[in-house]
Amino acid sequence: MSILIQECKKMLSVRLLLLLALFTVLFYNMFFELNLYPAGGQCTDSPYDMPYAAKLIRKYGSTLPVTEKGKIEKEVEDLKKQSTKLIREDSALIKAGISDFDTMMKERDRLADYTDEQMSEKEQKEKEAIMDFTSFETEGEKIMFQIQYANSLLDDFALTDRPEVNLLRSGALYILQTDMSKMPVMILICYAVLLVAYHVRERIRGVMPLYSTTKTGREIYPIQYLGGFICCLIIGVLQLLAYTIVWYAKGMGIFWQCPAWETRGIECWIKGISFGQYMGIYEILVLLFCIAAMALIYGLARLAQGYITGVVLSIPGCVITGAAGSVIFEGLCSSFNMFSMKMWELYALAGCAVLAVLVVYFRLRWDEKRDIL
Amino acid sequence: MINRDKKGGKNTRLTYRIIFLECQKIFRNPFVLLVFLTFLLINIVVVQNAYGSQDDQKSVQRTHRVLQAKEQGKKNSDVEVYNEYKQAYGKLYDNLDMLKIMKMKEKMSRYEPTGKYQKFIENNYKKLQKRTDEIKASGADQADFYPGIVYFVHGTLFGKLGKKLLLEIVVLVFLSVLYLMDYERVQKTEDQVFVTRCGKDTLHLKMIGGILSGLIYSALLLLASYGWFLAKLPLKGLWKVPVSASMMAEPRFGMLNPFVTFWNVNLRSYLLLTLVMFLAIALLAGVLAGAGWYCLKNSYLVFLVLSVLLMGSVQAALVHTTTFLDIVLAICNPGILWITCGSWFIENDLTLSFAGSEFCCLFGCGILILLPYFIGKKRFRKWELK
Repeated sequence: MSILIQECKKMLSVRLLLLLALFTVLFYNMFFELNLYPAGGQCTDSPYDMPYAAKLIRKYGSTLPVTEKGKIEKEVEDLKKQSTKLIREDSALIKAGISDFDTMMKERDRLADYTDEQMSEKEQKEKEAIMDFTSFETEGEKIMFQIQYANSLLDDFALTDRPEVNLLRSGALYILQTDMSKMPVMILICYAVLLVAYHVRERIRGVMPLYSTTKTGREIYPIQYLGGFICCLIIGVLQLLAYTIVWYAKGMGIFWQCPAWETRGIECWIKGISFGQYMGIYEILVLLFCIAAMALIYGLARLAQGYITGVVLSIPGCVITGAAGSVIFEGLCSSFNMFSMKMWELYALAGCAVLAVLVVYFRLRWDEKRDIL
Repeated sequence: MINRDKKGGKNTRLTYRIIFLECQKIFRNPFVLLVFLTFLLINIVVVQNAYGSQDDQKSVQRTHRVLQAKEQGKKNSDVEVYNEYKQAYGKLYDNLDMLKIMKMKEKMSRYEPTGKYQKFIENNYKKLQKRTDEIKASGADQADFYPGIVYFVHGTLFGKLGKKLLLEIVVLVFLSVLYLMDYERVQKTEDQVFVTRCGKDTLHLKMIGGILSGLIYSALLLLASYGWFLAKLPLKGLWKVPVSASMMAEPRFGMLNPFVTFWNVNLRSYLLLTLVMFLAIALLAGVLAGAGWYCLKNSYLVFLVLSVLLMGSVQAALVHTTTFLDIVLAICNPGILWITCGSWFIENDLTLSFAGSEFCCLFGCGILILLPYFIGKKRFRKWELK
């Protein structure tokens, strides 16, 4: 036990952990959709519909029965009234003869296809006035996108054959699925950084021949693997916990109570779960994949003769395992996938686990039997 | 002994021999080849995704035949269709207003410079407006090429693929330099090698050897990647097409505007300039790795710290002050070179909308990198082994 704790302490070097923390922050800023929230990839591809969805969920709950469609229609009417009030305060729009929201949207659609040469000077000014009102983060732009979101909800009411409509559309699902497909890459890079440093340091210090000359020494290899396993498990859990905390801190915890799937979207092979439960299952499966992939990183780190060799071996290792993780976790539990197979992710995970066990088993067996001479 | 006072002759031969032997260490190591092959595979996948499918290949081959027919003055139904398309989308310079584009970009990115800085940017865009007039007058805008809106040739070759290649070249140079500079420490021969000043001076030659090996691998990677690209999208007979041609234009920042180049560059000279930039960046990357090793004396930590620093520099490019300080920050930020890869020598960023901004960036980053390198090297000469 004391050897295990000692090996874990060696692996979790403070300098490397600080570097990994910095790397994680930068990775979040550069690659995660969660960091872009509330913009990107939602219903209207604007920063407004997700906070508006949160507002509707707080007001009406996570779902609305189809018979209560009138509540959303009233929301649309109220928003149009707000927009009309703002239009009547905008002198440029009044000059262009626009006095209400519907007229503005009609003119916007009409003038969208014309180039400047095809429009009169009056029409050009009208188009510019509409652009200024509905762009560049104005209140008019915000209301316009909120109306678009509410109208898309009304389409769900009209077209669904379910008894109720999910007030959370695709946005949160998109963010979660996109980020979880990139999460294995980030976690595996963290594993590679720790494992390569540890195993190469052991090799450079020249302790491998000492371990290999006695039975007790050879028993350290499985302890080292177990130490690596525990450290990687801790790092994986911390990373996913951090993601959950950031999710909640950004105000997206409200979506956890909603059903996991869109009203009219792709079917899921796990029925009746909430978005929060779906997110939990997603994170657990990502963690299991990363722990299985850690075996490959462990094997590569043990092969490395030096630090740069270790880095060089980790690059294809992380690329291959990261790419595999991205494919497996692209859209968890979706019944529509490239293999047209339900629960294919679980089969893939089982395959990865079997591969991991084989890699570790044969590596440790070779350590036990090999002649160091 | 390396005698610094003598030039040429035996000592130069010795220097070259040391560099050659150091390079041999890299080429004998199969693991760097593994990284090279991984990068090559990634680049091949990028090109295959862009132009690899059967439908894409049919379309590309057909368009290439049309362009060749046009060059030879032949006429057929496909040439007629191309001409109609060009009639609709090939007149981007007719009403091109660079100042309007500048104002649109400022609004969209909420970048509102004031005072002399605002005047500086406006002057740059006035010069770009004159440049568009020159392009129109010379007829360069009317050249035939694969339609940019459909094929995204420039964006794929210099943007998507270019950015990946740049990153891969930097990683290859980092790995080569750090492998050699840390070799003695890993092999436990530093007690013999670094105990004399002469031995310490070999570290400089190791860095040169590492840069050279990294450049050789990079050249092979460029050759193979661009070769694969040209196999999938032939550019025969199209190398003299000006980059500013309307047909080459691609949607950027939500608008379809042509690539307004600062100078008269065709595709061939643009590619050569890009390769020159890659070479310069690779050299800077090598010196940066050397500077890092002199400071930390641990190749692993250096690689991790440099990776995190470069990621940080890309993020730092998002920081704006809307004053002249933005230009200084951009010029001294290596991340800017990666972000603007694919838009070098073209009107792109508001801050860097002047000719030669890329070379200013190289110069600024070069100063920032060379300073710690020389300081680290000087300190290492006085460093005592414990």
